[in-house]
Amino acid sequence: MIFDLDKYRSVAIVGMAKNVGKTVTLNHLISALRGSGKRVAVTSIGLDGEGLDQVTRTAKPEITLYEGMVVTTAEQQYRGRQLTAEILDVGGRMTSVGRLITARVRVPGKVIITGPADTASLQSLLEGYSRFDVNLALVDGALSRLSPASPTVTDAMILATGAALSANIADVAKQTKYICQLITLDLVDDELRNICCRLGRGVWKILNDGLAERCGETALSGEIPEISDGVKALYVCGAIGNNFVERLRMQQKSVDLVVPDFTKIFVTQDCHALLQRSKVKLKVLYSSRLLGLTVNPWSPRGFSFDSEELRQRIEDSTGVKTYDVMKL
Amino acid sequence: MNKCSLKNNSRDFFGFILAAEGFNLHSAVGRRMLVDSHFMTDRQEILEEYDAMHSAADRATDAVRHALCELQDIAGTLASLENGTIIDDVQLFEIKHLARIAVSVRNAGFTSIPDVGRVVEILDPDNDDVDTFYIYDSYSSELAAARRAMTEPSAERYAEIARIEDEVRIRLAEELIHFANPLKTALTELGMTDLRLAKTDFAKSEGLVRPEISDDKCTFTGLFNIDVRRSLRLRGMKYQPVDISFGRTLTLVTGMNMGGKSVLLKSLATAQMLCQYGFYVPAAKAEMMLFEDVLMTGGDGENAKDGLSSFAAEICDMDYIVKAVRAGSRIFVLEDELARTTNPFEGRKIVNGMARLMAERNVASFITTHFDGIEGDFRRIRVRGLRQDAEANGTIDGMIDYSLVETSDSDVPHEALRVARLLGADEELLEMINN
Repeated sequence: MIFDLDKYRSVAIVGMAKNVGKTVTLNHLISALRGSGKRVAVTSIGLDGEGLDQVTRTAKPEITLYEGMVVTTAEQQYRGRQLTAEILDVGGRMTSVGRLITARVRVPGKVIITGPADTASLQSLLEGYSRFDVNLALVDGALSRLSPASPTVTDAMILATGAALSANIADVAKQTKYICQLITLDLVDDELRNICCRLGRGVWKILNDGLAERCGETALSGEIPEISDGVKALYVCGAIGNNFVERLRMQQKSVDLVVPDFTKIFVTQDCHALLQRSKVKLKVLYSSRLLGLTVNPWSPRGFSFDSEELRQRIEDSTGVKTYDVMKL
Repeated sequence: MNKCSLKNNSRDFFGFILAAEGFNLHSAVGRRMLVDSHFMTDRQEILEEYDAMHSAADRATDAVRHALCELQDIAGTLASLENGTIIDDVQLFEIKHLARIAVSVRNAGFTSIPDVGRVVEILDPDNDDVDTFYIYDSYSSELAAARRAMTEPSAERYAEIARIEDEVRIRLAEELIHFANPLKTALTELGMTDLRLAKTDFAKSEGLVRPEISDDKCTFTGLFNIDVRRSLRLRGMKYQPVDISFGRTLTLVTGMNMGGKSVLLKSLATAQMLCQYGFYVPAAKAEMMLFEDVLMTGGDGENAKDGLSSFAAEICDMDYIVKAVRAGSRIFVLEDELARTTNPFEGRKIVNGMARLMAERNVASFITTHFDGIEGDFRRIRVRGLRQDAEANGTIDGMIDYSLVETSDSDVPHEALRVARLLGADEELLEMINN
């Protein structure tokens, strides 16, 4: 096993784009976990694992599951399974592709996995897995969706990247490095965390004496709170974008900008670079555990990079252990 | 004149019930049973329903309630089973799940639920006593062998397994088809049990009472309106219940604005609907007669649906009532501020005409009005209204006595301006009104 999954109850596998080898990574993990004694469950957020990629029409590997593993997928996909499984639960909630079926594999085979459509449902599904004696859940993230990797949903994550991002190898490295930077953002100190944890949605000023003052519904409204002298931090319980970050930076005040976790940050790389050089320090309440990176040197547009060169460049620029999916 | 809003009152009633706090169904089947329930006009049927509610509440253990929470509405699956369609694993899982719930609830003493223990046996061949399901190895030795042979995923081998599984599914469907009807009955009975428990819990939480059923009179002691009482309680205020009785006659209700005339009519309508849909009713004590329909008009202008002017809607409603009366239907009519949508001169004539018709035909009916000079030989009641010392009292509700009193006067109270002043209306405006 290349990744150390021992300490985690749930791991998200997310891709930076389509065709970066996320499913290959997942299949690798599943087969490596076979016979490991781990009681594994596999699901996804949104549609994934379909025979043909619905966007680019390129071949996609299916998810192969082994005896004893638990899987949650939509009714429609369950009917098309190529494995024998014992149904454990039929969810009451309808998704666009029917109800969610949770089943334990009896005879190995393949299945298309379409899990819950939103993070809240995913969260409650993961919480319910203990009923089925599961101790490690793998979550396949959907296209360009980092949300299942939120530390409030899964304990750890594996990020897949590759040639599908850009034809320029340096650009792939740059984009990947940026996401890794966000994933590994500094945590707030304990004192500030204790204050922020108690606050609900909205934008909050945290004053030097520890008091919190609500100053807005959302950071996306265009209204920017003014940072006066007594303010030590700004906590945004929700998403932040370029506009908010830029106008906060321009105030040239020393302040911590706190968000719940990296999935709430919708700030472009250039904008983030400027912020890093400013007096505003971007921090998170909950940090994500990045277990490693996988790269796919093949692009669906027909070109490819040298596998080792790509792997090395990604590893060098991010400082995170990186593997080529095709060589796993 | 077919756009009468009166016909939808059962839908409004279900909406009211489903939205009511304290009314909690455990399952979608229970909800279906509520929405499919009919307006009962047979005394025996209502009394039997009350008895059934009582005995369900007596037997309902936590285990029964828990089982009902797990109940899924699988009417579609049971229809497939009955039609002889091949049923898949998800459907077999659902059937097993239903059968297990039915057996456990039946064993708790709900003997109206058919015994479907055999279905559980068929779908649990290894006697595992769990809710899970798949096409078990023990259904076919050929299947067991094929599965043992497949250690690595293989599309070809899976095709062979799938073929044998399908044979088993056909066999299971053939065996289970005989239980389609008992399973359907079990599903409805479980849904009814859920509904009955929700009704008795609701009665307990709101303080509803089981009414006596009478042939020719209605008597309420401490009649109240569930919604109004709740919202008053939230504001820390007290609801004043009323006592009222009536027979197959017209009662004309007068009284000041805000005196609770509309609330009285709504309470009467709600109590009648609750009773005839098999619920307990909001009163301390109640004796009720049964009607073929409850028709309530007016009130908050909700008749102006479907693009009709409010007057047109009112005429439309009246027409519907008159036709029902002429057809000899035993209806309960509640007309709130009849003819308030037109001028007082003709409005008074309309009320007079309607009152005469209701009185002559002995229709159990209530008409509220602000018009004076409504003549005729019928019963009149008045809301007591503003207390003598109203102005000295704090809140507007503390100033009003909502109790009802018999009167012979065809005059109506003239207290609108006094109420307006108490409500804090602009002094300059009141000055202009007075002069």
